[in-house]
Amino acid sequence: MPARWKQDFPVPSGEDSYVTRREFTKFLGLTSLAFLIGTCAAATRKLAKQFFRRDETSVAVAGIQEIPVGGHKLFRYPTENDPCILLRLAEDKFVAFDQRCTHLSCPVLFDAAKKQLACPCHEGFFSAEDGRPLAGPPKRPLAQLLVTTQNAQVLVSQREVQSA
Amino acid sequence: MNGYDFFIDPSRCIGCKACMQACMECDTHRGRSMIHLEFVDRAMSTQTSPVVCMHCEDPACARVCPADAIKQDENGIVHSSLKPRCIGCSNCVLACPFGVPQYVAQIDQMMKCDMCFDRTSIGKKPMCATVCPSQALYYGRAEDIERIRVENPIHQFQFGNQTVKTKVHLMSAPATDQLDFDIVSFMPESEDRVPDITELAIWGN
Repeated sequence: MPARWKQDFPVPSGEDSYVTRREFTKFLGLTSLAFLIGTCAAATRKLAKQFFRRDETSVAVAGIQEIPVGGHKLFRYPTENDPCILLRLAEDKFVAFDQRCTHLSCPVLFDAAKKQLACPCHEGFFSAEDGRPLAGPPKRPLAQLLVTTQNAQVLVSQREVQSA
Repeated sequence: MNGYDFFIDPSRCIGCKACMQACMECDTHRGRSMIHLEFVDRAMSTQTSPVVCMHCEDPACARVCPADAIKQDENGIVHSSLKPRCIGCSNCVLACPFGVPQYVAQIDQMMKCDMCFDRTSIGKKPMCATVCPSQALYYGRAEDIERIRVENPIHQFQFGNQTVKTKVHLMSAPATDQLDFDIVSFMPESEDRVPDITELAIWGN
């Protein structure tokens, strides 16, 4: 076993663990390039998804008479893994949101008296009018669905309404 | 490298300095010769001996380097000081038992023979060995030199209490396996030292 100082300063170049400035710079450059490519790929994917999205046909989720004013109905749209909530705020006003809180995806609950959607996990509150965050940890609005009424049926379509 | 070894035979050196000239022409060390000739006994003889790096297995130059600037690669070649590390302290110059490293003041760094790493790594011979007219510097296979020379290649030296094993071989008398150097006897303070003719001329008895 060589002395400690000899281990710290090895003579064979292979045992030398010090990183040269050039290697370190190369590592930094390649890592940032990888991050850049990853970011661009993710952005492109998202943009392409928005750009090429097919307009989904509207789906009837409830009858108008089924939900009283101030009532709500849970449904799943567009797939079984996407819980949504339909609210009736007034006689002729229906809104629908993705039920997952934008903080950590807990399901939000409707508070008809305050016209708010409340997330019980971390006390997050959203406006029931347009889904914008009011209080608590969530920073982004709830994803809103387009709601139309036709033939005494409430129809929901995929296109998200941009909240003001 | 590739089964090739470096052999030095000082007895064949004719002092032509072709090796120095060839080494000087190389771009990798900017016109400075990394090989030099030592006069064996300058006052009495014109006999010279070429000095290239012996590439010790445990290089003293690297051991004494306080900046960790001298490295030995996987082929056993001890390289010149690393540019970002060398502080130009000249410890290696003093420590080398063969007197190989040179301190270059213009760049404040040590430079030494690296057995023409740029050439030997791609299968070429070191420049000095290709130009030596008397083959005092020979780069080839051990079995070849055994066949064509009577001298015995050795690569172990004893300096006082220090045993130095080297990658480069020195052609020595037959049946010799190690060269002993009594360093103290070379020093001027030594009592049993035999003064040479120059010293006698200067200092008398």
